[in-house]
Amino acid sequence: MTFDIDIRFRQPVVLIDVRGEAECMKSVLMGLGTQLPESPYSILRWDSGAVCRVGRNWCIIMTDMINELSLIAELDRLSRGVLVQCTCVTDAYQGIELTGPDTRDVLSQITPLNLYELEDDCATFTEIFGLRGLIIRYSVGKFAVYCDRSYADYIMKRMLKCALLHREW
Amino acid sequence: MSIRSNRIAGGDLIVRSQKIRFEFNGRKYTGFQGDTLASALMANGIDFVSRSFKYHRPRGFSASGYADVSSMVQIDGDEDTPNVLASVTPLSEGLTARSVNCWPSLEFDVGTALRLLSPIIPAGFYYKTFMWPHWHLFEPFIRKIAGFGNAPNSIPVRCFGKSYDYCDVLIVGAGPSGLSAGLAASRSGARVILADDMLQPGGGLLSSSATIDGKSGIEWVSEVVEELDANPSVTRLQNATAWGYLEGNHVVISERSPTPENLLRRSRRVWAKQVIIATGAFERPIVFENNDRPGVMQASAVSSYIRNYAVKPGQKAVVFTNNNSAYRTVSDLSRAGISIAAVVDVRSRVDDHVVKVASQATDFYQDSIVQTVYGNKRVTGVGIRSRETGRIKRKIDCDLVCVSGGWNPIVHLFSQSGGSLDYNEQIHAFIPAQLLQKSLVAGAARGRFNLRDSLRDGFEAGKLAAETIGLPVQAQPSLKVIDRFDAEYSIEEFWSVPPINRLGKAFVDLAGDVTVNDLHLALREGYESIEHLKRYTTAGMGLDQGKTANVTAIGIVAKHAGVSMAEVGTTTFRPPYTPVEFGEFAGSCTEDVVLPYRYTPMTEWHKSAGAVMFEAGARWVRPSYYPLSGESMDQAIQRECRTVRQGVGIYDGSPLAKFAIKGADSETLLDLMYTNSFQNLDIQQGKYGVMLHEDGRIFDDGVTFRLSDDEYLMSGATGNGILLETRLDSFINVERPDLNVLFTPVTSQWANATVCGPLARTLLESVESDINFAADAFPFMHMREGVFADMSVRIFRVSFTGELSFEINTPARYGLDLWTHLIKAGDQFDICPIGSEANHVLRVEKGFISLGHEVDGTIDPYDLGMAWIVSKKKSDFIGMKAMQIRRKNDDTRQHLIGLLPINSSELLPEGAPLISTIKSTRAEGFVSASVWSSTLDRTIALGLLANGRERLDETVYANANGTIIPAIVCKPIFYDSDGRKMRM
Repeated sequence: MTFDIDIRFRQPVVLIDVRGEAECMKSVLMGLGTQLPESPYSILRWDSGAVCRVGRNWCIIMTDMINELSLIAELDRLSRGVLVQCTCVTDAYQGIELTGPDTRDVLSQITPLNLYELEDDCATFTEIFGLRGLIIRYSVGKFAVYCDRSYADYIMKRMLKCALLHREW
Repeated sequence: MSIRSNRIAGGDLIVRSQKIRFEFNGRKYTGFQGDTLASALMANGIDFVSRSFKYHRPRGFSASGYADVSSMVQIDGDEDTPNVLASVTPLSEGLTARSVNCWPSLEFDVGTALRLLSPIIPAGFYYKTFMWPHWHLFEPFIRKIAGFGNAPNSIPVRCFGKSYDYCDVLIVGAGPSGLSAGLAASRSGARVILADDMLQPGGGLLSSSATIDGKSGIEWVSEVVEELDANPSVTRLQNATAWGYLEGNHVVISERSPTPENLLRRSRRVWAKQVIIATGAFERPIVFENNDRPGVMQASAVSSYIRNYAVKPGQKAVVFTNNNSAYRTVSDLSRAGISIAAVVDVRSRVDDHVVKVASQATDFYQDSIVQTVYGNKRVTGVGIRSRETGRIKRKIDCDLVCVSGGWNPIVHLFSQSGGSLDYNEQIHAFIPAQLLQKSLVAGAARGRFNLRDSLRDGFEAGKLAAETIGLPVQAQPSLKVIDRFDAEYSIEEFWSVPPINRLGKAFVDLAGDVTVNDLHLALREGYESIEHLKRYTTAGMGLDQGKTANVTAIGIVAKHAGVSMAEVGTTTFRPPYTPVEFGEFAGSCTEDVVLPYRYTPMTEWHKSAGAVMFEAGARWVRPSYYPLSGESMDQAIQRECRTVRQGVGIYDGSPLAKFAIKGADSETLLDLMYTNSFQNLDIQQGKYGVMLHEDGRIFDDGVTFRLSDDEYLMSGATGNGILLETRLDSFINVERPDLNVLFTPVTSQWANATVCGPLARTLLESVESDINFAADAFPFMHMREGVFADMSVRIFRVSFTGELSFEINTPARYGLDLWTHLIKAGDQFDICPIGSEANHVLRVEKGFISLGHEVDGTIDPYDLGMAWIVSKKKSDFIGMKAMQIRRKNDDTRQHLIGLLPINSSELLPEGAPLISTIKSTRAEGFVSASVWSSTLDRTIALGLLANGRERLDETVYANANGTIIPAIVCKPIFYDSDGRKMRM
């Protein structure tokens, strides 16, 4: 018997790392037509994508790849002259999706994060096998993990081991 | 030989309809579902199962559960495991076990000869013997006979797991107090984890005749467990030992029957808001001569085997005790049809109900003791005497001795949590006193041995734990407890019976064969502290960590030394409470993922091209060299070097550490972090910089480019990526939060294919691009952004090889496409990929420094002849003051130099010390890098040498493990000294 879970690489999405004083980030995000989530670690969705608040002065914008160039250009314009840094990190991260009834059991092997306190539509940077990674909870049985792209092969192999999916039993 | 059956009727924990076959020492037996290996062996008449650690004496089952240190066996098979206690190993179909510490067999063991040496191998003998002529003569023999079982030879089929967990209340122990606490906490809505180390929950209730609200102990346990299991907020772990209580209410649990079934073991690290320690108590022995013989058992263990497993541990018993609890066993023996030859009580006065129970025995001796046990591989009788006289009054035939010296609360976890202990004179045991962390202790673990008290105590603890975290609590239900033996726990302090003759052995610690005489010897030799006594005698240092021996040892020491128990105190309790397999620490971190590794987008291409891969720092797996068919490593490296010097090579520079910096104070930041100035850089212009540690020694080097008015891209050494990020983070957010500057790590965002060599420009110009690569349009140390082969790129003109070089960066998703496009376009120019080895040779030829070689943590820029990189105008930068102070005080500094071995084909070993004369023993420097240069057709080297710049043309010697190799000191550059080639 293995864990009842499906683990697979996610299709690429645009990731923009936004840092700066909260008020400055707010003005940039308002220019995009959205806002900075008030609650820590929460996700705010708007037409074009989602904003994950991952720190007091830090958020990650996620959107479809089709919007990449226009979003980067718009953010470049909006952040000119303000102390806000918008950096495209689409290629710096690899997303891995975990779905299934045993997702939390497997995740509890991967991260020391208190998963009971991570609610739906919440995201936070934490440790994934001791390495930095972003965890997003969509629902009780659906999570996404974003790790440094260079570690993706290692992390996927190790996740499959945790889920006992690395061999035929 | 026929197998004797010791089964009787009853047995609450076994399922007679499910027979199980198993093997022990090559012989086949059967047992039942629910049996432990110990109960099944006992049922089959096996009572001699192992040999003791030092004297190889026959040993049997001395206790039950984790207190039974004697029943250690090796489990063979797919998941062979050494040093497993038969008393806690569940019987499973096909289980194969064998005795340990015996050769060639259990029955005939060569090691028994050690008994003849026993007078000269008391405690601490190895501090006084095996020294002449030297220890190493005896070492192989002693190592061979030491230890118990054998480490596994193969990786188990099933896996080890490791997980993190959080809860409101963690309860350790599922005896009566633990289960009560579980009820209270779970009913309040708390998230509860209940961990118990036995195969079934219930603790002492399983072998108790008590009733709770009219239900038997087992029935009550079943009902409680059903309620707990039905609660989704409760996680119940059985056969799971909490072995460590660490800081922050962090408890580590070893699960030996985890789910799913493909897991062999799981280590669960739990952080709890409240911990309830309901770990119960161990019965302790009374120590007397030959108390280690098979057939001498703790009284409660005898009750457990009779009631739970329907096994008669013997046919004719003697009970020896100093307290009331052993009288339960007298009743159990009687009901099982075991003849009770005598009850021997050290007390002169006992309660009336005790006298009544003792009447079930043939004889009842008060104020008496068991002096010795007769028999070798099995008890055949005991000798008893009164406490006053020295002679044996009577010999009694028997094959079972049930011993009870009282109860020790299991305080290990509590002590690990930092709590302090007090010695309680009423129960003659150490009990928890001062709490340190957010925990509570309940039931027998704090000396409440009475069942009614235990249940109430547990519920109160669960209630209090829930209240402390703000959860509503139900009132404690009143339970009607009827227990014939629920009278007040009455005990007289009594630890040991001294042997009549000095050669007699009365064992305090069965695990290490430590006797009473050993403790007395240690005291005579001046070891007064219990910590020293422990280490000198090894009492409490066996695999059981002294679970039943420690308190007895303290008692014997206190009595002999004439001090109180409190004065002697306890030794320090340390995790793990029980042995933990290494696999639990590893979890999924095994085989190909034992360490993290990092790949670039081109890694698979390198592998399929036959590159020899290695870990190049910061976990990156990089190509070392690309051997063609039939090529040796040296041949491949030289070919790659020649290609770069004469044509064009390509290497994967993706792992280079990279950081995007933005803000009005970016220049200020760079000026503070680097030794040189970054003022007035043009947009798209770059500069090489050196960073120092706070102590003024070189930390990192790299090139930083200006991207726009307030944006820069900083790069650093691959191996320093994480350290650089930490430094930037700390500096910007902690030391200088006043600076208007931000940074984002972008190392993995960009893939980097670097083309280098005289034909590099020609290659790039052959590819469609909107970038002008001409020398005047794209000078050295500049960058361009644009489109190249239909990909967005940033191209940087820097050089690590000393040749014309372009680092082409593109978002990592295009990295492989870029690489393969360049390989294909470069085909016409005989392009070849080059690895780290060739890069190393090329940079040595140029005299470029490398972290870990010339930069060894002791060096500053002046030592490397890089005074030009230290700004004279800046008022401050990290490490400036320390460097100035050091240079002011030090007369002699090591300088970077080149070395030309006099024999031009002789390679100086890297790391070899440099001496100034052949006979000198004082190292004045070392060889930092040494290579064969195909460009120069000879060996060359770089090194650090005291005052090296003043010693040009001097001959020095590299001392290579006694081989002396002469070399001439020269300037540290061997190729293109004016840098013309890279600036083309």
